[in-house]
Amino acid sequence: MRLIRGRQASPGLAYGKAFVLKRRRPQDAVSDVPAERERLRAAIAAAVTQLHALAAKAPSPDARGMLEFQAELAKDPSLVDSAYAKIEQGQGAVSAWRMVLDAEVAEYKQSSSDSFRARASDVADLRERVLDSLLGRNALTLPAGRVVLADDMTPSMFLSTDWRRGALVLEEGSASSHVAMLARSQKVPMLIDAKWREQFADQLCIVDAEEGVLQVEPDEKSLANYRRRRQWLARQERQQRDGMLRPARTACGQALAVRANITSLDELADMDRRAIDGLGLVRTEFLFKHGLADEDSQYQSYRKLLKWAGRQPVTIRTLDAGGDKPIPDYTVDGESNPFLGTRGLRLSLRQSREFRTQLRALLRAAQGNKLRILLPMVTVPSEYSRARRILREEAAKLKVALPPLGMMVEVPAAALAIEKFRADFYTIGSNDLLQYLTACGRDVAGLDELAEQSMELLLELIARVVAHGKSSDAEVSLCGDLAGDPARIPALLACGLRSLSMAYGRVGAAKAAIAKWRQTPNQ
Amino acid sequence: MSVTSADIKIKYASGMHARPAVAFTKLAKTFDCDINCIVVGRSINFNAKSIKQAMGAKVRQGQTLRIEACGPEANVAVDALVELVKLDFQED
Repeated sequence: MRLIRGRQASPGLAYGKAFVLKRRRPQDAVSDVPAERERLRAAIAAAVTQLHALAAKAPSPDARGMLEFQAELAKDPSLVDSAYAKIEQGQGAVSAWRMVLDAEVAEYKQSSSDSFRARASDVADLRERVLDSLLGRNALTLPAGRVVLADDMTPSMFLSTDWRRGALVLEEGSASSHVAMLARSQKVPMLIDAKWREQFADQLCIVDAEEGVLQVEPDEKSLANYRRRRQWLARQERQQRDGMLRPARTACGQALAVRANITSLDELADMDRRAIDGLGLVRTEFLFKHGLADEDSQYQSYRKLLKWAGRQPVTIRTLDAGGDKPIPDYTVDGESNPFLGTRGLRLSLRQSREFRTQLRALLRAAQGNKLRILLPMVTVPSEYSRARRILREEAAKLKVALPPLGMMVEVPAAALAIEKFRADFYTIGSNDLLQYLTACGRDVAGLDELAEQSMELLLELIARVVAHGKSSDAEVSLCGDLAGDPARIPALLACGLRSLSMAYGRVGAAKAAIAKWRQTPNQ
Repeated sequence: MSVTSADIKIKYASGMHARPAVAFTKLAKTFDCDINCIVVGRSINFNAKSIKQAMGAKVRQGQTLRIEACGPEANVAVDALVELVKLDFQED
């Protein structure tokens, strides 16, 4: 038996055969010229085949046109010969392709004509598609129900895998990465920082995320211990499930709002409305997965959400594109640091036509419901006022009542100057606030410790926002990983927070933690 | 070998951008001849069979395209391409 230490990124226990996901090919592992040429040729051919297949079932002539454009470009010697020439000069296939396509994207972006400039995202799309095949990204489907050992993993690969009874063990990774968030919401046990070995392939493994260990070829004693702990966890989970439907109350009987965050309408199917006090954060990016969405299709989706929620409040956040969530023809390409770029409300105020479309759809859907509109990435009070003015104009045109308009507090500048804001409600986005406060990227491995040591500062900011909410009679809630983490909940409640929004999978554990908490007299 | 040539004005509102350029180069590639295009008055020319070059020329509405072909199918190629531009790049 071997014991490998790691750190928990998502709780739980699993036992199964290990599947070793080959390490990503290092980008500088360049073979000889003929091999790199062949690698690029094969990757381009694969991309062309995919593009033709996608074009054949494209939903509209426009979509088909874009895909055909990319396919033609990939077949054009004027373009690809420059990449082969770079390979002859000693570049690897990856860097040769990237250089040539980056230059091409830049050329499109410089055009003075909108219709040409808009094609830059198609060229960038082609660049990524060929890179995907070169680097073997997304190409692989993982077997179901295995203990997957990998160096790192992309969110799309995580999402295309059946994780029931499985677990994930990463050599790198971060507990605040997108994949870790997905693992927590799907209840997949996950370890990070675990130095596994290739020879573990197909060996039986226990992943004990609670203890932060990977046991390879466990002995009888460990297996017996695993079964005991599993039963104990199952019992705990059952108790949590039973507790889930009871309203959230602290040990001294104080009522709290526990709400759910959702990222798509599909999630509603697995949720019990009675377990939550409404939806605290509806991310609307899912509506824009295939580009910009028209008013009516947005309206239909918002109606569905509100209908599901019944009399419960639903907080819908306006489009938070940019950062790691690009939308073709809408977000700004090629920013040197998109997380600090034109994203969220900044982009909405710049592209106000799209913003107005979304507000109109929301206003129409809001009638007779408890809809609240939430603005992402607010930095200074004038942004909030501008958004409010636009909302008021659209409501006047539609002759409808104004729903409450709140703001995300996720930029340190907004949190520090919160007294200057007059929003109807405040939602603290703890993930981004911590990331911007500490200058530690969420997906950067190895920085968790810095973020951890800054927790006190984050709590200070939270308390500040809560105090402003109290004095201006506006609700303050918190959405983000902290809200669903039983170990953090006491500190959040001590800050004065009385409304938390989290992944639905965390509701039971959160309510259990809330039920144990007792307010001390000096709070 | 003689060169066949014809001038045609671009009426298409957004110029020869993605979809029109794809239709144009795809059609050009079906002919056994070299085809060179000149954007009249802009001293820009491009290979009619290259989407990269056709897009790079950024041909706008109102500009005139001179299509020059040289090779066995030069005549029929020029006629077909002129026809495509006249029909605003509608394929089929």
